Amino acid sequence: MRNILLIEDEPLIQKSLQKILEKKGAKVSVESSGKSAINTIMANDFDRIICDLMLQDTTGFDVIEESKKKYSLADISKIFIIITAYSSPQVHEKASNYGCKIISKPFEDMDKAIEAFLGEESRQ
Amino acid sequence: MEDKSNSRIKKGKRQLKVHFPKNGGYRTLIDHFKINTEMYPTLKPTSSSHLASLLIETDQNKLSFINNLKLIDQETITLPEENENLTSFLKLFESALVINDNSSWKKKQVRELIRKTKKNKAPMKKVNSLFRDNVPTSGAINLIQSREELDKLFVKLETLETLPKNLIENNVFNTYESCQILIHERGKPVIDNFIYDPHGKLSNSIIPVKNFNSIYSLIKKSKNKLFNQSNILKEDLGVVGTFLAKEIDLKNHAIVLIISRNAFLLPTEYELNYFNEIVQLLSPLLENLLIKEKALKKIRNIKLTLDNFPFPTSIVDKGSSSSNAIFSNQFSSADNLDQDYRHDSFQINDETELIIGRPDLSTNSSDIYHHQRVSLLGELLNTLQHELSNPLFGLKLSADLLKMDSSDSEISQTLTEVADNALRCQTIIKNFSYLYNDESSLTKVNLLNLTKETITLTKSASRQIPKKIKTMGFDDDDDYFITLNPTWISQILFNLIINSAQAITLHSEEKISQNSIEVFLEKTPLNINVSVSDTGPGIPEELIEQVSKPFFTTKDQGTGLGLSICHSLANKLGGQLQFKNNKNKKGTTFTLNLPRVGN
Repeated sequence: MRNILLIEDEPLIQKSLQKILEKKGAKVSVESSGKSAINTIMANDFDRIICDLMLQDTTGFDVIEESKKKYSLADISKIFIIITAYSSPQVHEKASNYGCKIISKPFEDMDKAIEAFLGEESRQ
Repeated sequence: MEDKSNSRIKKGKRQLKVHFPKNGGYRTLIDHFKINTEMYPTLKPTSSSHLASLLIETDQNKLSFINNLKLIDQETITLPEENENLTSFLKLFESALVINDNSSWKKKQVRELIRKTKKNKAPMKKVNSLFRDNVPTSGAINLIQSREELDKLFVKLETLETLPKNLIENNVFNTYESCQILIHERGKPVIDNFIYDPHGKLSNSIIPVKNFNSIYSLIKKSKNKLFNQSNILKEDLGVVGTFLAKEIDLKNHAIVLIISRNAFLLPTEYELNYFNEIVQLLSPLLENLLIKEKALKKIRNIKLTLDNFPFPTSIVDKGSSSSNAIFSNQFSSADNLDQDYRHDSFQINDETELIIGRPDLSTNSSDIYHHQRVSLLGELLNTLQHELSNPLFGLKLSADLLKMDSSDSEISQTLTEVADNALRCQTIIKNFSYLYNDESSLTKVNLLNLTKETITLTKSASRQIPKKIKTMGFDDDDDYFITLNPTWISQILFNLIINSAQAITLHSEEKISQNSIEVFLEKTPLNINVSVSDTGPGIPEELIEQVSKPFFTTKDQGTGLGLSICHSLANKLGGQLQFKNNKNKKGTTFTLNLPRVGN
């Protein structure tokens, strides 16, 4: 059972994505703001953290930075998946600095995206 | 007195110039001859014999006291100061005034009288004429009382306008009330007219050259420079009665100087000569003043021009000095040097050159208007995209979610359509955002899609007009991908289609819907050509050269910049924009030729 944290502030996306993933058998927690997300990350262990870049109070990158206190860089690249509507070259470059995967919103290929979220190739 | 002759008192005139010294028997004379001083306002004691202003005339033993120019040749008689002598003097005086045929004897009498009054004074100079042919004779300078008086007059003279006032304030003219100066700069159609009036006010007016010329020539012709207003009855003269006037002939100016008592008493010979002399001495000074004023005016005008030019401008003034003076305005500072400017220079006249810098549109720096328009729209689309993207995505996800739950194929299909349309909305926004990419970056774009999207943007202007897209030379769908700046291409296409649409809408004789606009995409071995052609009225022969010029437009609205922007964008793309009127059909075709470089 995958333990997934979804950090997304757009309510409709949060709700639908959570439900979709739960239907696929995952356990999904949600956070709307970066600050509370960081607290949750520190307090819990997740197999996957799906993080939107544009949050109300911070950016997804700030959350990842904070997570470095808990996870190694290698783990970060495995655990975090960034989703965003802003897929400019600069964003891609920054994401590659962390070694994370980026999926653009809207998902061109829904199934592929879901697969990545649930991805078997996490730890180990 | 011995009276050898027959003393017949004839009708005639006998003149004696009389000087009343300040403490002399002025009052006695007045009383003796019972002179009505009100009638003779100039009858007053003066400090110098030169300033004697009274002439006594007898006519049938009646004495009258007037001023008369001809008396210049007369010797001046000074009334003695002491009273005792005065009485005997007066008797002598009276008899001297009696006209006699034996004028030689009378002359003797007069001389006797004069001798009696001379005392120890130096012999007075006979002044016939102070000026011959406008050149002062040696006797002239003596008229000017002192060097200080002269300096006082000149030092105060800062501008020509103050001259009338200064003259009036001069001692010699203290009975004078108004002074007028008319200045004509040669070649100009108007005259500057300054009048200093009896109330001490200086007024200024402009009068036409015609009036001035007649005054000037009259004054010039006159020998004695003394005038009566009836000679020159012009409204422009600010004086009344008799006046003195002199013309001054300078290199670039003609000046007339007029001074008057505003009464009908004639000026004295002395005043006349003094006036002439002053004017003579003033002439070079006036010349300098005028030159200075002209130079200052030119600098003022240059500065005013520069302040009002909205782009970097310099004016080079050669002028009379050997070095050039360069005036620049605030836009020519170093801050503006990062923008590329072209400099055009224009020769305004022999002395002045105008240099204007304008932004160089052919360099890499963007056209300002285009840049502004694009960046605003770009901002708008960006914001729109981000704001709409999330809800639309949410819609899609929700539909997908429902689909997952539903086993009903119809519901499932409907939900798929919902999801697809939500996705379509997002794609549309994303595509338009590409069109307004601000950076001059190269992107791989599908030319056909770009064309379709651009046409959609023109809907509001071209609604009723049928549009078609034709292609040639492209193998398959992928072949439409080319690498260039999509913003620029779409801007050019957009402008051309709008122009065609407006031409048809405003000028077509047929119904709008019977016209058409066609976009033709052609791929050749060397080029990719994008053409826009319409069935409108075409471009008139005489305007063909003008239409591409900035700010040229035949429409009521719009900036007239559309085509010139298209040309500069075409250059930026490495291609060129051409157009010609369609031969057989109506209308015009614009073609953008883009050379293929690795495309």
